[in-house]
Amino acid sequence: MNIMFISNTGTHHALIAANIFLGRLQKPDFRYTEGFCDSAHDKSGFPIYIGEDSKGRKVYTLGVGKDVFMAKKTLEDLRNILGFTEKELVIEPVSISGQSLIDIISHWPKKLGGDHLNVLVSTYLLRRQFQTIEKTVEDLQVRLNKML
Amino acid sequence: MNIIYHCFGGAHSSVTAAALHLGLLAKDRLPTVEELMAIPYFDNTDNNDFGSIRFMGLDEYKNAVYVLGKKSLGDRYTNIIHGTAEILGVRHQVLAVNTMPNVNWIMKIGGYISRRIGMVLVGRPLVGIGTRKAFFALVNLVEITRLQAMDCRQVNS
Repeated sequence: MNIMFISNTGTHHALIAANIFLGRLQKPDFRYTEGFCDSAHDKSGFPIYIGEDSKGRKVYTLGVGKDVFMAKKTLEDLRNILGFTEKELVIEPVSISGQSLIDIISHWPKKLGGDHLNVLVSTYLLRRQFQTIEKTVEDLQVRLNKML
Repeated sequence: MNIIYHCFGGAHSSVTAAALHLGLLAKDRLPTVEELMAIPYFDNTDNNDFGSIRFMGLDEYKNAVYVLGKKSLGDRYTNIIHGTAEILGVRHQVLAVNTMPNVNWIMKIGGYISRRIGMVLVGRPLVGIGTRKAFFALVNLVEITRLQAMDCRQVNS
């Protein structure tokens, strides 16, 4: 099974959700989260592989821009067209308040302190929203358990 | 193989390209505005259609042809589609084609007036004119896509 966390970027709250899912993050300390705020990694639009859990489920993140639910619709349509179901690919949107601010600062020019600002603002926002992201992951775990 | 033509609204350039691919429009002459309007989905979408992959038909090689409106996500959407297919292990079954580089300003303005503002009487003729202007560029894009699809089929077989 593949699990794809989608949000406006693939290197902020989706990445945090993926790491919580994989059991790598128990508290809102993102210093050692690989790829956190790495906007360059997110630019291409390809899903980013984060890791695999003990049950062999592969976890990805994907940044899809402003309209996360439009992208969810596309990905679900694509999955159906290709003859797969939620048992092969779960698409999980991760939304938090203030995510449009993350979108803006992740596009802020490097020369104007973009990288620093990105980490600073994102860390502040995501620390405050950590419980919301944890809840999203918990709900997904419940759904996955029901699927088995 | 599944071929997905995508543009901003999934109503004009992608639909025209899909119609060309399926032989619903002749490639060697400019279509009339009436012929364009007769294409399924042409200038006929609403906000709920954004993100939906809509089936247009099967070509002579049994490739399924679809259209998709993806707002301003540009070529990124091609990678999103290809990347997701890759994860599922079926990258060879999908070909996503961005038709936006062939969209001119007349199409953009006409599309905005017709679809966004809802002034169909003003927007639709503009879209018709713009699509006719972009027509042979779209023919070229479709021919390249057909060759790519053929190439993929040969690699897979």
